[in-house]
Amino acid sequence: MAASPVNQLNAHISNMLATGLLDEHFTALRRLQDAESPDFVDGLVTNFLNDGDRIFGKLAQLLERPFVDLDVVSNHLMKLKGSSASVGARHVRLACIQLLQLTSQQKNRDEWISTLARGRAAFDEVRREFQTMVQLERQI
Amino acid sequence: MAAVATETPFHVLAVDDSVLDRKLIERLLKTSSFQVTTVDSGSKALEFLGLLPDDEDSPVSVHADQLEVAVNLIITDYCMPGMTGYDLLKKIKESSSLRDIPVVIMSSENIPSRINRCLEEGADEFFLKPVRLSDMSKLKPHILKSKCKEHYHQEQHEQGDSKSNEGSNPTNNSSRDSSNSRKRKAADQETLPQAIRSRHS
Repeated sequence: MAASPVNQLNAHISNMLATGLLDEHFTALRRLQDAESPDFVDGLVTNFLNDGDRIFGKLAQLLERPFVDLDVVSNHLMKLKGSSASVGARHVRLACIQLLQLTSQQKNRDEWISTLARGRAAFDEVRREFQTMVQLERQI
Repeated sequence: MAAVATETPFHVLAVDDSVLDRKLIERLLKTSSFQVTTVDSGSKALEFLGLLPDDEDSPVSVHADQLEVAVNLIITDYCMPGMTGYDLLKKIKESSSLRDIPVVIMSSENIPSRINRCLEEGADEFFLKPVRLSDMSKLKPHILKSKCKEHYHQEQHEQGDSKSNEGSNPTNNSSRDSSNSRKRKAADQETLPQAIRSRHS
């Protein structure tokens, strides 16, 4: 027996919450959405995904340089940390915190690159799940 | 004794360089029945409030079309490029026409020294990001408190100034237009309508 589109959507979001991909801030955002602002959550998700794409791209470029400007790196990470916190993207927020910790330690490039790769993977995962969410919304 | 007018919602100016956070704060404020204007920088906020970068408080610097815009509270992000939320707070508190507007600072960082610095500079409240719906209920008390202070000062002013008082019903002195909002400092106060008058003669 196929679940209704609404049930499928809710199950999907519940799963994202249960796995820690999302936290209660995302739930709070859904509660703020109403008939007057039906695209509110999707709009924020789009902003977050754009921020993530842009910032992970910039971080990869910055880390390729012979001299890495850690202030610039920090600023980007702070920005992405803020976006992920506001939208409730927990794994990405934690990844940013991990990367920010590296800026205050004497870490070599390899450590940076592997930590960044893990952060990027977390971002890619939540992006996939958000895309599935949007597809499920469209079926309603 | 003027009753606080409630037919028009309070107007909040929200300042944040992040488009995501601007959308969020706008939704939170609208859900809480505030009228909202959002800007993406401190300098745009000052422009909206009628303060130009160079001539603070100079009467000629205020735009005529902004005279009726009343801002009841300003909520601003701390970390912004260029003018930070702290810089903006300072400029507001240094302005005789704006200093009574309550200011709330938002920040994603829980740094006690930063919080204290803002509160010492005159911020009324400090919100940790992400801001929640429950935080919105903390805003109205600050607005009402500043309006009470404002009304008290206005009454004092009117009592000491009774001859030039138009004598109109004080309830016409809409609290929306009182000095809680940015006001024009008129060169000639006697000819101003009663709603807009400078507290500083």
